[in-house]
Amino acid sequence: MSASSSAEIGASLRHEDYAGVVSRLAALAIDVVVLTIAAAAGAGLVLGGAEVVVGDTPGWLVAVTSFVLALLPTLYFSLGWWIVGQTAGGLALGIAVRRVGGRPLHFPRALVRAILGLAFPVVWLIGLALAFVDQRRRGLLDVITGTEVVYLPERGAQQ
Amino acid sequence: MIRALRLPLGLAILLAERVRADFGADHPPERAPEAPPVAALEGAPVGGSVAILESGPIAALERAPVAALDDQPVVEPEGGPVAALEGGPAGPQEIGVAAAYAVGLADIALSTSARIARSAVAAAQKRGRVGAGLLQTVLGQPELARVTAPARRATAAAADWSAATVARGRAVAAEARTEAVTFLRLESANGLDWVRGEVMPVMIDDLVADPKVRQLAMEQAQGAVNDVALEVRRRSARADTSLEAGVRKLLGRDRRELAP
Repeated sequence: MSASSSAEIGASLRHEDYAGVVSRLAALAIDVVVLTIAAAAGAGLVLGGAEVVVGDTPGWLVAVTSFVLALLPTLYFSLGWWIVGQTAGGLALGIAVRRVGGRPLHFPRALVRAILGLAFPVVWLIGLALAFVDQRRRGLLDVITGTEVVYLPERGAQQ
Repeated sequence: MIRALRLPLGLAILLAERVRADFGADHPPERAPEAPPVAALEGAPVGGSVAILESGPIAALERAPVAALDDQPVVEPEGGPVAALEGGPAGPQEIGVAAAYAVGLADIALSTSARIARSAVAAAQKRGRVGAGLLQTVLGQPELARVTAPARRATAAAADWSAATVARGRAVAAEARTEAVTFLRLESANGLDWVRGEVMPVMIDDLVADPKVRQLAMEQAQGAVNDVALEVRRRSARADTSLEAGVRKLLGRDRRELAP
C-alpha cells in the first residue's frame, strides 16, 4: 500500500474503522500458530537433517538454531509490520498496523513495537483493554509506539 | 426377412410410444397388449358387426384361452399362413410384415370406430328398444332367416378375418417391441461399458492435463478462501463492536466520552 493511500485511509477513518480487540487477538492467535509451526518445522529440518547427514547433532548447531528460533518471533512481527504492515494473522483478518496518521511504519518503530510486545506479552495483552475506551481503539503498546491498527478496505469495496 | 424387419419395427414402436408419452396424445397411451401366441389366434370367434364393435373381437381373442382357440377352425387372412410369420417362405413373410403394418392402422381405426359405435349405440339404445323388439320378431321368422343366412355368414367371415389380422399384427408388434427392448438394453450396456472403459479415463486425463481446467480449479479454490476470509473479517468486526459496546455499558461510559 502506498503512502498516499495510507494517508487517505488515515484522514477519513471513523471509530469503526479501527481494529478492535477481537480482531487483534484473533490475528495474534493465528500468528502464534504460524510461528509455532514454522519454528517446529525449521528446527526439525535443521536438527533432524544434521542427525541424518552427520549422524550427530553438533552443539554449535543447536545453539545457532536456538538463537534463530528466539529471534524468529521478533523478526516475524517487525519485518511484517515494516514491509506490508501486516503479519499472517493481520492478513487473514484484514487488519494492518500504521503510524498515527496513516503512514506505514519504519523498521525501527516496527522493531521496537515487536520487542516491547514480545518482552512484555502480559502488558501487551492487558494493555489492549485500553482499546475499549480509546477513540482510535489503541492499546497501550500502540500509545507507546505511536501506532494504530486499522481495518483494510475490502477488495470488492475498493473496486 | 421378418426377423430383419422386426427390430426396426420394434424401434419404431418404442419411438412412437415415447413420442406419444412426451407430447401427450389425445388419448392415453395404450400399453402393448400381452399378445397371445400367433398360432393361438387363428380361428377367432366371430360376432356380428355391432357385437364386434361392442364387445371387441380383439379383446375376446386376448381373453380367450389358448387351448380353446387352438381347437377352432382356422380362418386365415389373405396374407398367408400364420406360421409363415415365424419363419416360412420369403413371399408370405413379406406379406405378413406388410399386413402387420396394415393391422396397426386397422387396429387404430377399429378402436376409434368402436368408441364411436359404442356412443352411438348407447344413444340409440333407449329410443330403439321398442323398434328392436319388433325387428327381432320379424327377423326370427324361419323364411327370412334362411334368406339372410348367406349375408350373415359373409359378415361373420369378414369380421373374423379382421379380428385375426388385428390380433396377428398385435402379436408381431409385441414380439418386435420385446426384441427392440432387448436390443436396446444390450447395446446400452455395451455402450456404457465402452464409455467407462475407453472414454472416461481419456477424458479425465485430458481434463486433468488441461491448463484451463487447472486454472479454473485454482480460481474456484481461491474464491472460496477469499469468501471465508471476508466472512471472518466481517464477523470479527461485528464482534469488536459488540464487545466494545458491552464493555462501555459495564463501565457506564458513553461513546462520546471516549478518549481522543
